[in-house]
Amino acid sequence: MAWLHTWSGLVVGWLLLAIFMTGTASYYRSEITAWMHPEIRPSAPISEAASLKQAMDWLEQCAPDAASWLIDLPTTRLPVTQVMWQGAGERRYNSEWLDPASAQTLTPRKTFGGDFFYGFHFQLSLPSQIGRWIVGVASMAMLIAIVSGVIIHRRIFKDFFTFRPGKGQRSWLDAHNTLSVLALPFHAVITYTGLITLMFMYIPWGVDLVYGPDRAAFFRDIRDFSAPQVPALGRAVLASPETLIQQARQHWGQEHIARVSITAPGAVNARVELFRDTLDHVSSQPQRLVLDGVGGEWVGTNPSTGPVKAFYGVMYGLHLAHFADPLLRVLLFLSGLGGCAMIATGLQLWVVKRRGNSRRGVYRHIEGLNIAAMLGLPTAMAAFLWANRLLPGDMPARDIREIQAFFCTWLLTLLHAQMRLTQHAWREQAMLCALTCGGLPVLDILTGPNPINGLNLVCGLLGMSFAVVAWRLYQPAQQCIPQTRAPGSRPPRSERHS
Amino acid sequence: MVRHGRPQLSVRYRLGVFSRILAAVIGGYAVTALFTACLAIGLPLVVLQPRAETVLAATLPAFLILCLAAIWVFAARSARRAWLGLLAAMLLLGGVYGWLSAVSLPGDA
Amino acid sequence: MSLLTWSALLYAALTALCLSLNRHYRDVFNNRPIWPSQRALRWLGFTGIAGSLLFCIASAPDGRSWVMWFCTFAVLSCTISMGLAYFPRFISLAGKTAVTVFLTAVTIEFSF
Repeated sequence: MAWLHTWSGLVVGWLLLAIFMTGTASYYRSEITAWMHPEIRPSAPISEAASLKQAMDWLEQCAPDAASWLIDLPTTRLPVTQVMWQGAGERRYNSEWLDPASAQTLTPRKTFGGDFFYGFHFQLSLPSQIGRWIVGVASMAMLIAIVSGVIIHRRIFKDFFTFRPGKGQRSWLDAHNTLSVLALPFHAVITYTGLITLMFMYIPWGVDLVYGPDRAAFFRDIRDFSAPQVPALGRAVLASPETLIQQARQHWGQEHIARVSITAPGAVNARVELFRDTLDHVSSQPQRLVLDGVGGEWVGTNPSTGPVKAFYGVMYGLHLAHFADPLLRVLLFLSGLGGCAMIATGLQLWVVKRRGNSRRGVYRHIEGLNIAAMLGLPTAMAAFLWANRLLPGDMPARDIREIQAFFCTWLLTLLHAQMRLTQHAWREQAMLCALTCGGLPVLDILTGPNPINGLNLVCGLLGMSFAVVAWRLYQPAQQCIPQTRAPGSRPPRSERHS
Repeated sequence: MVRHGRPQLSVRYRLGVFSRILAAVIGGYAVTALFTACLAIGLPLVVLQPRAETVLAATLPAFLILCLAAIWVFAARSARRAWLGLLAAMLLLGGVYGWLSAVSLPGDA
Repeated sequence: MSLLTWSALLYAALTALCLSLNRHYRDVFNNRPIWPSQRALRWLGFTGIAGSLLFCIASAPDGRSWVMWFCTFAVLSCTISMGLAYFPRFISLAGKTAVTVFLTAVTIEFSF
């Protein structure tokens, strides 16, 4: 069982670290997107009614013949109104951003924003089939590592709070145990629910046997997509925004609309669907109000939710954590960082245990991979944000260039870690990581509209943490090089079970 | 390279580990597939519910089954036992699946 | 039962549990007898943890409360673990402070 835990963790360890880090960053996906679009300058407080009116007026003016409209109302986390429209017969949606205060179109710089980390988290920037399968296999290995870890470390409470720093391999083991056990519910739930989000790809036989070849029908059923509607020939005036708002207030109370979908605007069979925000319940299934597009009367209810579908919605929602208010989001972010640290300490423990006193050989290269994963990746993520501000706003294909900056930085840190001696590599990369992360708030002060935001605070704190790590690594050798036992000696009794 | 204090790992041991890995991956996935298939066909016979419910109820437990299978393979006393156990599970579930397919009317979704 | 109240209770309970374990009891108190005793600390610890979970769910009976409680548990116990490693002298004081905060907050809440 110990063998299973070690190897299921190790084989996918670096990949899992990348998945966990980008996933933890994705808790702040909207904030990262807002940070990477410095053209967004929210000036006045945003009202739902005003934003909806502006959006509908804009669409009326600029896309009156569209087959359907989609409006994402601004939130505190991402204060822009996003309007999308689909031409007749097209599948793609065109989209524009409106400033909710002035109702003007924004022309923000082309960038993927927080969606890059989010997409990397489950697809690794590879073609969807390949990337998602790799992530799925890694997540399954993580689940097995967690279960086998609990089996090995059955007597959880004995070492529950034990962390003894400065003792080399013992310390790495303590850290790995503590981080795993204290946040075990989080790690187990995140891994399992993560698998569930993509489960129909990995376990397709349920869908295939029940729905046959019509997979699309299944996804319509569980995601509650309404069947598409062909616009009728007769024209009619669309219901006013005030009517729609009033219906929403009647059913849901104040300020709860997240998205408005209008099918066949301007036709007699226009239909409006209002989607409620999901801030106050765990399930990811949003409530919908279906209204008649011309008169604004309430037409339909939600399709029936069975118990299993409700459970699925809760599982899905637990992974995405869209319900998290700012405090809970901080706690989840910290738990995510704890998960990253759990994987990192596991990887480093494996290397420290086996390398003895040698500075060369295969373990030196493996430790180099550790460095690139633990320190190189945060540096690359920060480089992505640096590229966002340093590249000119009107540069063609700048969104691709930002991604290239991410991957190039990561590759360079990998090469650096392999070429330098490991102790130098650790120090230098920790220093680099501290500078790139800590430099982001400074960059935002110099180039951004509003430097007082959460992302700057988080990056500043992370930068300081890495700086502390770098400082400790630069201390004289006897305090920091992990002590190893003489080869051939047996570990003391208390350590032997791991 | 021989490390002091560690027994040199024999070819037999390595083959056993490799065999267990194959059992966990291939056998485990097969058992999971059969389990899901049985639930997908069997549940509509037992309880009347929308199709989406059946699919979800059949697919949600799959990862637990796969995890259990993998843990079992590595907890079993030998690689041979692991394979035998998985094959037994596959035969049992395969039989159940065959019986359920015959029982449910053709074309019944 | 506000967030501050049940999280203060949770922190105090976790500290109590931690100090009831022989290893940490030795490190922090040097084996001198304390009040409450180690056994009492263990009971108080488990009760406090259960109590904080009950208060958390009762104040907002929602799935989100469960998530909040487990995340708070993880963060607070990590804090205690780090505190034990780097500032063992302050563990007892921090625990007593948490108890005081909890009792004060409960008194304030229930007198209104």
